[in-house]
Amino acid sequence: MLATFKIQKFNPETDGKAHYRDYEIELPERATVLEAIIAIKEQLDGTLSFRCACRSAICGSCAMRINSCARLACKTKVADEVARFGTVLIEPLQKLKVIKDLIVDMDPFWRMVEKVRPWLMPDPHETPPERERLVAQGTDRDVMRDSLCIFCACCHTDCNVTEIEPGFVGPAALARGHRYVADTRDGATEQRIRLLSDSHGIWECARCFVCTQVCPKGVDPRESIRQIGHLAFERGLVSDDGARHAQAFLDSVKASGRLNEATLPLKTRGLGVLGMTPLAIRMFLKGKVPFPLQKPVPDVEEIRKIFELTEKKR
Amino acid sequence: MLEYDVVVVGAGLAGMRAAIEAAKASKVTVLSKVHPVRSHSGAAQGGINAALGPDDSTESHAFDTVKGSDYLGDQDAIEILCREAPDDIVELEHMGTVFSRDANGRIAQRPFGGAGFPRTCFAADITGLVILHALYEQMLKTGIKVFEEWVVTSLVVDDNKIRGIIAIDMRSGRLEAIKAKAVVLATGGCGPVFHNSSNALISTGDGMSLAYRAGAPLMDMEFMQFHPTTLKANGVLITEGARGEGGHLLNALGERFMARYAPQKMELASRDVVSRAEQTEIEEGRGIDGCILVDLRHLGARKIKERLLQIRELAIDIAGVDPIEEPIPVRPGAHYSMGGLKTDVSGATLVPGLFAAGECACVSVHGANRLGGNSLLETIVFGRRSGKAAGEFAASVAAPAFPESAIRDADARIEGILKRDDGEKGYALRRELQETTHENLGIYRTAGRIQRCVEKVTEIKERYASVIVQDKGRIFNTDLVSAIETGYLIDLAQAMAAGALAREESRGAHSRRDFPSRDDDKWLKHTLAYWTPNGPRLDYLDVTITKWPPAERSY
Repeated sequence: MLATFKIQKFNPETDGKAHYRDYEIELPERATVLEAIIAIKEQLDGTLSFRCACRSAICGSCAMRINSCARLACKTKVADEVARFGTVLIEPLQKLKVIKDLIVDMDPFWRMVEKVRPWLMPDPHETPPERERLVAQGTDRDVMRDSLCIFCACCHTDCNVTEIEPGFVGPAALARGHRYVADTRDGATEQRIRLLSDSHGIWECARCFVCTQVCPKGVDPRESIRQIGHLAFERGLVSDDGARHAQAFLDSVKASGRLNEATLPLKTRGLGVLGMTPLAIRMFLKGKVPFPLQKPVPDVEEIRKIFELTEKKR
Repeated sequence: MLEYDVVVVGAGLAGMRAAIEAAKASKVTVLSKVHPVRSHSGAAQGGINAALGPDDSTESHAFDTVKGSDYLGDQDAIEILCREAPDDIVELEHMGTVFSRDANGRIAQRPFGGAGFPRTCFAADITGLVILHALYEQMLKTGIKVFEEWVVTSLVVDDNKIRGIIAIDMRSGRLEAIKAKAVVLATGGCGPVFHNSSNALISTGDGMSLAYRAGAPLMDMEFMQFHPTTLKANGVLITEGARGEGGHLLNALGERFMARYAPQKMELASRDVVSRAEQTEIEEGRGIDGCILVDLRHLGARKIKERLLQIRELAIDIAGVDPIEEPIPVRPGAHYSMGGLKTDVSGATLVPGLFAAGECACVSVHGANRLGGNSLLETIVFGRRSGKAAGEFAASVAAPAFPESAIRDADARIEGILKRDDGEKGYALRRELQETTHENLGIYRTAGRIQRCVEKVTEIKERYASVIVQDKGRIFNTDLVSAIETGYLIDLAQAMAAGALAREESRGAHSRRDFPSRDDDKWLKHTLAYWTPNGPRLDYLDVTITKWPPAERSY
């Protein structure tokens, strides 16, 4: 199979800015993108720089943007990309500083992961047992799913929130945080939920599911974030704007079957909403301010029944 | 100049375990050419052995290991490995490692090849990954400094004592020196000496080769383990856990051919036995396209998805086969080096202050053939022991003098490669090396073939003296690093081939067609290889026997 590649190049020692270079190379039918760029490096361009190690989607080294989506090069087939896009466009992961070609500075990502205190914190009052701690079979499903994370940063760098809020710890770090929240051996659950639902934590998630979609290992960070949110509500940890936003959303739908966009900001931000006044004025002038009084939808009773049933099910 | 008591090179399981131990009493740092969680320990799938259950015993674990080693393992070291295993597993669990559990909530154990008892602890088929993460997280918690993406280019040894290391900081491209009283090498294996090995591309035997050049002998390098189940396309591993969970090996006729080779243990005979059986089936025409099949279908979708999830994903991605629906075509592939730097049971090499642990070391607990599940165990037990010993050694010596010329010499060598325009690319040389080892130093060997390999490697080594790179820059020059690594692989291939040619017997993973039996009278001994400018100089060392005199080995 003859395939064409367009690869972003940047040499910090000679280039002012990044540019693209095209390559054409003959490959076996089942070649992965990693095998392709290794072949390009060996045969066509020894300067082409990228990270790689295991070739089997377990080390997380070769994450890069392939046709505009963060993926592992070793887990992406050239033929699939060619069938869909005609060519293979390869760029470094987004939002991280490029060191050289496809190699980015991962440090900001690692600092986020460290923020969730990713190590077991047993109850300090517990005397550790002589043998292993017991864990009932089946109670560690979530821990196992979170543990599949290989820290490739695909989710973190494709996340829509890290785009506009660089302080957001991001889906990978939150999934790792959840790995310890869900661990029955951990004794710091309360402290962890507080930390993870604090500013720049779970409530900054926009619930777009991109993390879950791009994860090459089936980790499902969005589900981990949802579970932390649920636990935060159970514990009444709802003072964050994000939690109040979620609560206001729920209350509004429960009350009227509609989302009341006029009262939502007030309920979310409280008096802090005053800071939004200039925006409100601009919206008013353009006729975009929704009317605060809304009639419930005709069958609002049906909607309330859904709520009742859901709550009973818990 | 940076200065530490102990410098650990490599941040896989052995390296991080050594660093955590050494940090209890000394100033420690870890250098790694990749971020710690990228280390190849993370690719270990099946599990880690320990006699935990009341019906099992460390004695039985030790006997299985001795027998698996084809009696070449040092029995004092094996007894330590097996005796200390249960406490080390409990410690890993207490650190937070996730393990699959049995019905009582205890750590579950699965059967593995060559073992008389189900004693392999595991986390589905991502055991290496979860232990790697647990140790990395302990490192974060402890605050041990890691120099990530630093590639060690020299061990500085002066007056037969370790003085420190010199490394390229990939990000700046600069050479940096670190002064150290003790150095622990934990750089892993050297699978890429062979074509399509199961190892990562980064497992290029750096520590083995650097120490070998610095005067520490390599031991038993002729023993390369060929894993029975690797994928044809690129050698990626299908865990022994697949057979441990009940998978069958089938030939083209649909026969469970292991009945002919190991009637009792069948698919769970030791790896050398299974790989030879597969190779024989393939060579005698009962293979399928150079492979045999591992059949998991009868295990059912649920078990496969729960316990073998990673290998299912790999089989689908790489071979295009879903093991729930179809058997996976596999073949034996270079997987693990039983040989490595000769160390004592504290990880000390023959150079004072230089220690080694994990796959780059040869204690020797694996002898001529390693049992599945014993390599992760070795990294933890001997990682810990070497970290402790290195810390103690550092406390007992004064700060070493670091020869100023060392960094200039290292820089001159790198400049030499960068400036050279007339020569061959390292990639082509590496491929030729892999082709000759694959062809001539594989599962079955003969004097003629090994001799051909010796000659070819010598020729490649001569050509390597004028290796060139296309990337002439300093920052993140992976072209340069690859060329340097190829040099390591060539040196190690020489030691393997020399040892294999001399050893006129068949033992464990070393099978000579011209000497088909084990010969304890002549060859119950370790091979030592010392570096010389003209190739390896061989010497021999007695095997330590404590309880188990050599006996016939069948499965």
